[in-house]
Amino acid sequence: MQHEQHRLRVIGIGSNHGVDQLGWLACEMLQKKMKAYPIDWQLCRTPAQLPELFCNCDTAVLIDALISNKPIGQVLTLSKDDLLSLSSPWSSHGISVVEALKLTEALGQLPANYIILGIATSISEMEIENIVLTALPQLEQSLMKSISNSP
Amino acid sequence: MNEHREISIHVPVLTRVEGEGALDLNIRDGHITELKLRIFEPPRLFEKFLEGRQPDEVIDMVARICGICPVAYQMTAVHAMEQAFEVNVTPWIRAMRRIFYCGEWLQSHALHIHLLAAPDFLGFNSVTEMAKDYAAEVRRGLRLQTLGNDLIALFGARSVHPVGACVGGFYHTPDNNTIRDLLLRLKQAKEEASDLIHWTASLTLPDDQQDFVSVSLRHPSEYPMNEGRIISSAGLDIDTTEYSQHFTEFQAPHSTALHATLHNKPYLVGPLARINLNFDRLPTKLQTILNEAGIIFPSQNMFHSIIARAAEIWLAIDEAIQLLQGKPGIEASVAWQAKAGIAIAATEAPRGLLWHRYELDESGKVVNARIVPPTSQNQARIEEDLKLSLETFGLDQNDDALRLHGECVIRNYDPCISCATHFLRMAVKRDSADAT
Repeated sequence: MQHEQHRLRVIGIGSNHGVDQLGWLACEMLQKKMKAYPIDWQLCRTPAQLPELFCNCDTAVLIDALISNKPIGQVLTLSKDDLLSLSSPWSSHGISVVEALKLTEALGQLPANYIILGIATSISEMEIENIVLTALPQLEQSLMKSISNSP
Repeated sequence: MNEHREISIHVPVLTRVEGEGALDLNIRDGHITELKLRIFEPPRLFEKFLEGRQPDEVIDMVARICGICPVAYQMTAVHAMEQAFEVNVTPWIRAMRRIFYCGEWLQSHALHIHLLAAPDFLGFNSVTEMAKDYAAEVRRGLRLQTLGNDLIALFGARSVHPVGACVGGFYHTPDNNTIRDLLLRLKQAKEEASDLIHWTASLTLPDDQQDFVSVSLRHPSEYPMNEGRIISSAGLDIDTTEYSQHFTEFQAPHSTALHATLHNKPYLVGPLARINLNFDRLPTKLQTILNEAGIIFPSQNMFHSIIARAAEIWLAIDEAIQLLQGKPGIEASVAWQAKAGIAIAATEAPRGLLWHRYELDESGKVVNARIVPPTSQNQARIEEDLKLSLETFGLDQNDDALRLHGECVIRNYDPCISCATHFLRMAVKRDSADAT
């Protein structure tokens, strides 16, 4: 939808395949768990959608899979600089998340606050739901913090 | 004495393509001796997953084959099932399905034109660079993409993994307030769509005329989307049930995706093929805009694909406006009864012809399934195009220039190489045996 003004928007990014589903699945599970909170939940197929999804919100939280050597299911909070410093593209969806963030910035559409949460995994993991279940408490904690910090 | 020279280039990442792939290019004495586009697609696995599933389970499952074109998979499966069960839907359901499909064309084409292809023709490495000089155009692309996604969500409840379509129609009728809002935005977007056609026609596109066969659906009176016979620029005119008698899928050793040929030759599916074969089915106003822009269809220049996409954006917006202004629907679906049979249908996905075949038992459960996606069909054509285009471009160009041109040729097809990661590695091997 054309996005209405929200204080907090949570965006799960991913695709249908393998561990790339983590962002979507985490978003869907969190939405069920945090029904009581005023959060606008969105699923995103390609980072190309991010500039529009970042419009009309005070805080945006982006959740994606992160190929990493960290323990599976660990949640890492990343800045744009963190993403830029990674040796290989952090995410790959036609255009990368980093590129989408740069594009959003170039268009002057970055929200006042944005947080990027990466769920650590390896490329060959099969137990997608278990990874999300492991990550869920940390993700929920991060969102609660965002809610309490919202203006 | 012979001098033996060998150069290898590794391009670790090709951005702006959906999926994972690799290109192997060997050049010897100024000629391409080997060119292999290796891509990896998952639909073969889905075909096995579908066995034993009920018709409406199939509709929801096939939406997950592709995150960019779920509507195409759903609509093809729906039409196949309804053909087997002899279901006749109401004119309203038929019209709403067309809008559903318009949404997908709109979002997919807007993304490809503005964010993936245009940087190639404007001399930028990325859309981020392009946005500094073309912010208004990039914003237009993002707005059109969102509008397309919202049309999908109108019927599918959401644009990612839509869940609103079923055999016989939809699970619900769309909300009138949302329709009003969308109509307003569609009308505002109409002028942008005209501007977009002129903008794409003004781009400096390579003039690369090639001899290729176009294949698409053709409907008796409409621009093809959900129905029609399969035709080609070489004179083919068949029912969708005859597909297997003319088209051959085969496994190329270098790729996990099947290749396809028509009478043993590569062929093109997608927006350019559709317009090439159906220009007379476009609204007169759109034909006029294209003529004013100075582009003549049919075109044998593959780089005119970006203009074809822009024209289909105009068409999708125009059709959605007209159809949404029609009489509201009362019944979201019609009743149906499963029966054993062979279910076959083809529709026009954003990237081209999508063909499904299901063998169904008496309860409608899938016994076996076969799905032929457009990117598989285009793979042999992409390889043929790469060879011709790189040779026209000049194999004596430096490796970076060759790589960039090769990437541009591949991106021009908007290949949807849906997979978990999206990298194309290109190795150029130059092998010279010139006597010295």
